[in-house]
Amino acid sequence: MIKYAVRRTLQAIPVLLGISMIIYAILLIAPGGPEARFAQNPRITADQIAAFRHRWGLDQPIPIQYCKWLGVCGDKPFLVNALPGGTIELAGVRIELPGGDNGVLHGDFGFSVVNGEPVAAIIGDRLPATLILAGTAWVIWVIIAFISGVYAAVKRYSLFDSALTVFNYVGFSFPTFWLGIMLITVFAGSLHVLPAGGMWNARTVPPFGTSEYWAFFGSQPLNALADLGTHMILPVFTLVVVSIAYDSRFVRSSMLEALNQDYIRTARAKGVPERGVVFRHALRNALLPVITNLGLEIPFLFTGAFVTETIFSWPGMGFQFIQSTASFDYPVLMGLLSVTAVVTVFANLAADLTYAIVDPRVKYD
Amino acid sequence: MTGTAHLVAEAPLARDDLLLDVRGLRTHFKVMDGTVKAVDGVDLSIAQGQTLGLVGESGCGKSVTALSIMRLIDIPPGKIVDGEIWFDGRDLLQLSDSEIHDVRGNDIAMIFQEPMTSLNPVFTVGEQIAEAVRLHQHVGGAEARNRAIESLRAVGVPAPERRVRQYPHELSGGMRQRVMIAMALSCHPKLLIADEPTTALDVTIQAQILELIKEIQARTGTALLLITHDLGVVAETVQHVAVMYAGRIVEQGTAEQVLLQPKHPYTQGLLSSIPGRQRRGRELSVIKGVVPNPFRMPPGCKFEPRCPFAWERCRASEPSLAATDRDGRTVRCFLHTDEGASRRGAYEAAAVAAVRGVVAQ
Ligand SMILES: Nc1ncnc2c1ncn2[C@@H]1O[C@H](COP(=O)(O)OP(=O)(O)O)[C@@H](O)[C@H]1O
Ligand SMILES: [Mg+2]
Repeated sequence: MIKYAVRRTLQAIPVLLGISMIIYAILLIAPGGPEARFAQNPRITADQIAAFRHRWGLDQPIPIQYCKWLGVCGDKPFLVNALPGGTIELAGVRIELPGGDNGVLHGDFGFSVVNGEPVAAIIGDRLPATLILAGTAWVIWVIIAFISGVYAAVKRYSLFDSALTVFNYVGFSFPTFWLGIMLITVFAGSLHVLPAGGMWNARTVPPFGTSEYWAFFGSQPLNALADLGTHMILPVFTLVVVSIAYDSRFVRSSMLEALNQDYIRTARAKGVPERGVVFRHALRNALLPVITNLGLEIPFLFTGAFVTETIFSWPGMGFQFIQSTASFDYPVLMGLLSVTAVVTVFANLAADLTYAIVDPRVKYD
Repeated sequence: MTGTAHLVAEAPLARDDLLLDVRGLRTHFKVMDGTVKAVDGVDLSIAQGQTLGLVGESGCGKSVTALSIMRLIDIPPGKIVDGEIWFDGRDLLQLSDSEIHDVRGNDIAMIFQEPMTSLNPVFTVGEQIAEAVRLHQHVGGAEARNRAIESLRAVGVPAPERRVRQYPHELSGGMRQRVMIAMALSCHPKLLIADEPTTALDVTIQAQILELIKEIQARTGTALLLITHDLGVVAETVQHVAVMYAGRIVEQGTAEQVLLQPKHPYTQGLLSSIPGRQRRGRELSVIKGVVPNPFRMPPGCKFEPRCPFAWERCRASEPSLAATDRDGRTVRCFLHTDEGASRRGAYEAAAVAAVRGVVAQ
C-alpha cells in the first residue's frame, strides 16, 4: 500500500510538468499578451511597449521564458538552477545550497504586472478565502447529498424521492448568477438582514488576512465568527443549491445500484435487519464510486466558485482570476492555474488512494 | 386480530409432521404491461429432514416460490396476494418483520444460483459467515469467527483459517458456492433452500457441490428444497419431486414415482428432453411450443396449447391438483380423472417409451 502511494505520488510529477507546459502554451496562444493592457492607451508609444517587453523578458524565445518561469534556467548554470538554493542552518552549521532561488520550483511565481506584488503573496491572500467559502459549502452539500441520496434510494418512488428529483432539477438548472443576484436583492436589498457581498464589514473589522484581522479574531472570536458567518450565508447557500443536485443524484443512483445486487439478497436471506442491509452492505459498496466523484469535485471548488465569488465580491481565487484576466496579469493567471492544477492532481491521487483502501479488489501492482 | 382468527381457523388443518406446508401461494408482480402471475396456486410440503426437488423450465416461478417462502419478494413490484406458508407451526406470512428476520438464516437458509455475485465484495468471507452467526446465535466476535472457520471446514474448504481472511474475488466460483453453503449451514437451519446451486458452475464442480449438499443433508438431517431445471440432478439428490409449470405445481410425488411413472404430460415431456449418451445424434424430443405469455394465459389447463394429449375438456377449465389412486401422489391433469379414462391408455404407452429412453442411459 505504501509502495503504491509513493509510486502514484512520483507519477504525479511528470503529469504536473506536462500540465504547466499546456497552461503556458494556452496563455501564449490567447490573443493579447501582458502588453495588451496598453493597447487602448494612445499615450503609450511602441518604444515604451518594447521596453516593457524587454523588462519582463517577453522578447526572449518562448522555451527560455518557460524555462525561467519554471526555475530551471536562471543566473546559475542550466539544471543547477533547479536545485534548492539559498542558505540553511543544519545543527548549527550554515550550508550554502548551490541552486537558484527564483522560478516556480523555488516557490517563486513571479510578480504581478499590474502592481508588482509577488504572485505567491497574492495567492497566499486569496487561497484561504476560497478554502473557507468553498470548503464550507462542499462539506454542507456532501452531507446533505449523502443523507438525501441514501434516503431517496431506500424509499424509491416515495414522495420524498419525487420531491428531491424536482428540487435537484430546479437547482441544477438555476443559473448561479441569477440565484446569487436574487438572494442579494431579497436579503440585502429589500430585507437588509444580510450583507450584499464582501467577506468582512469594513467599518468594524480589519481586512481579512492581515495581522490586524487575526488579532481581532483572537480578541473577539465570537464577533469575528459572526461577521464571517453573516457574510458567508448567501454565497454558501448559492453554492450548495447549485451544486447539490449532481452529488445527490450520484449517491442515489450508486445506492440504488448497490441495493439491486445479489449480495443484498444474500444479506437479507441470512436475516440481516433492513438497517444493516442499507448501511453495512449497500452503503459500503455505494461509497466506492462516490469517493472518486468527490475527489474529482475538489478542483471544482476552486474554479466553480468563480461566479459565486464574483457576484458576492468574495476575495478568493475565482474573484482574483476574473480581475487578473481583465487586466492581462499573466503571471498571476499562471500562478492561479498552477495551484489549481496541483490541487486537481493531488485530489485525484487522494481519491485513488482512498479507493484502494476501501475496495479490497484494487490491485496495487 | 385477523391474524389470530385466521390461525385458529386454519391450525387444525396443519399436519404436524410437516416442516413446511405451502398452500395456495400466489405471488404476483405488477409491471408496466399488467400483472405477471409468477406464482399462481402453489401447494407443496416437506416433512422434517425430507428432501424435495422443485423442477420446471426456467421462468415457471421456482425462484419466486422460494423467495416467497423467505419473504424476500420485492414489494413493489411483487406481492404475495394469497396463500399460507406454514413452517414449524407458524404461518410465515403472518410474522412481523423482526420475527421473519429471526427465521431467515436461522431456521431457513438459502443459497443462490450466482456464487460470483452473491457474496459482498467488500467484506471477507469470514466476516460474512460470522455475521450470520452473530445475528442468530448471540455470540461474540471471536467465537463467531471460530464458528465461521468450523463451517468452512465442514464444507471441505481447505485451510479455512486462511480462507476466512480472504475476499470473495480471491476465490473460484466453486469455492464461493462452498462459502455460501457454509454460511447457510452456520446456524444449523431446519430447512435449506438451494436455488439452482450448481447451474452457474463448471460441470466438474457441479457434481462436487451436489455431492456436498447431499452429504451435508444426510449428516445434519436438515430438510432440503432443491430447485433445479435439471431432472438428472433431481434423480441423484432428492426423495420427493414437485414439477412446476406456469406458476403452478402440476405433479408431486416421490422421485421414483415421478421419474419412472410420470403422470403429467409436461413431466413426460421434460423426461423426453433429457439429453443422454444413447440419444446423442438422434433428434432430441423437445416439448413443442413455448411457455404461455403471462398476459395471455390459456383459459383452461395452462399446458394445453403444448400438450399432445389435450382435448376439448382441457380448454374448458383448469384441472385441480388432485390425489391419484395411490401413495399420496398428486397431479393436475384431466387424463387422471374419470373424464380422461378413455385416453389414459395412449398417454401411458407414450410415458413408458419416454421413461425407457431415459432409463436406458
Ligand atoms: N421482480 C420481478 N418483477 C417482475 N417480474 C418478475 C420479477 N421476478 C420474477 N418475475 C417473473 O416471474 C416469473 C417467474 O420467475 P422465476 O421464479 O425467476 O422463474 P424460475 O422458475 O426460472 O426461477 C418470470 O416470468 C419472471 O419474469
Ligand atoms: Mg430461478
